[in-house]
Amino acid sequence: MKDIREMIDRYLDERMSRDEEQEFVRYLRSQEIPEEFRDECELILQMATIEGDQEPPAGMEERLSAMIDNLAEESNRPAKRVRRLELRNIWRAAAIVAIVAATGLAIVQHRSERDEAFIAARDRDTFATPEEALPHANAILRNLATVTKSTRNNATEAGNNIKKLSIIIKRNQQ
Amino acid sequence: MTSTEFKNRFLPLHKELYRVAVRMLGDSNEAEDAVQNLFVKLWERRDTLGSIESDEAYCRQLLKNICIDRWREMRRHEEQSLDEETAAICDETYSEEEINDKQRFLKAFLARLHERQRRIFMLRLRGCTYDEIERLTGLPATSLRMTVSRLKRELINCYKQKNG
Repeated sequence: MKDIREMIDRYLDERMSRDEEQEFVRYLRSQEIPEEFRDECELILQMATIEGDQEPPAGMEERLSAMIDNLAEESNRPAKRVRRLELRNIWRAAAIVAIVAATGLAIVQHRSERDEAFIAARDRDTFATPEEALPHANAILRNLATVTKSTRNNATEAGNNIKKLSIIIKRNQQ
Repeated sequence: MTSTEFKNRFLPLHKELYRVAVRMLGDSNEAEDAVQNLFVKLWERRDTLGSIESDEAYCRQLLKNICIDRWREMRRHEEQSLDEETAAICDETYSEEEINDKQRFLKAFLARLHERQRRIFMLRLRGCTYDEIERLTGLPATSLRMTVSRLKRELINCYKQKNG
């Protein structure tokens, strides 16, 4: 083993391969470390212990099992009867939809305005030749793709969160 | 497929899947969440799982996609660069117990890191190569290497400072 100072520096600077790191850690575990390097070497050994720390947390299997039971129970339950909306609730629902739509449009507008190509394309609708129209059409399609992708991701994320939430609520009701 | 059949088939895989998730996410709580999400997806697809050749390979692939999605989601919310995330970790208060015990000190240090830094550091300490971390995080390997090196040195310097 070379000079220990050099080895420590190579470890800290990420200049060792995985094999060299493991060899270095084995060396540190088997040797009496000089006092001046002891703190550094002990911290390096602590970092090395993290690699083996990959066992599932206690009770994870039971939690998964309970979750599957809940999912099974939920899928066996008959669909709920749809209640008719009263007139005042329809107005409330319409108001909420209007607010959400307005907010969504504001966000889309705000994002769109960051794209200069999109602004240029948005403000023109007449072109002399197809070649002239092509870059503008591309800019609009790019913007549409970005907004659609973002919306889809948000919807997926919301769906997953709702599922998790319903599992947690059920678990706490039991 | 009944819940009992489902459990008998997939629950025995949960330990190995958890290890995969920890290696990909660098965080034990997130790893458990990812495995839970995987089981929800599997349950939703339970009627089409009959034709799978290898349950483990199928689960690993689904889990990998879940973990990559999680990193993408994190990337969308992280506007700072990794360099900007280096807060004054050492300026924070550490308890006497943490300062006197290196294992506790390491845990306390990790807990004070910015989330993305901590995950990258943990991925590296758990044995991921820089190519693997680059694929997961979308950050260049050179920048990742510098970050990990800086954090290792910061850990040592911070410990020395607190014990000085």
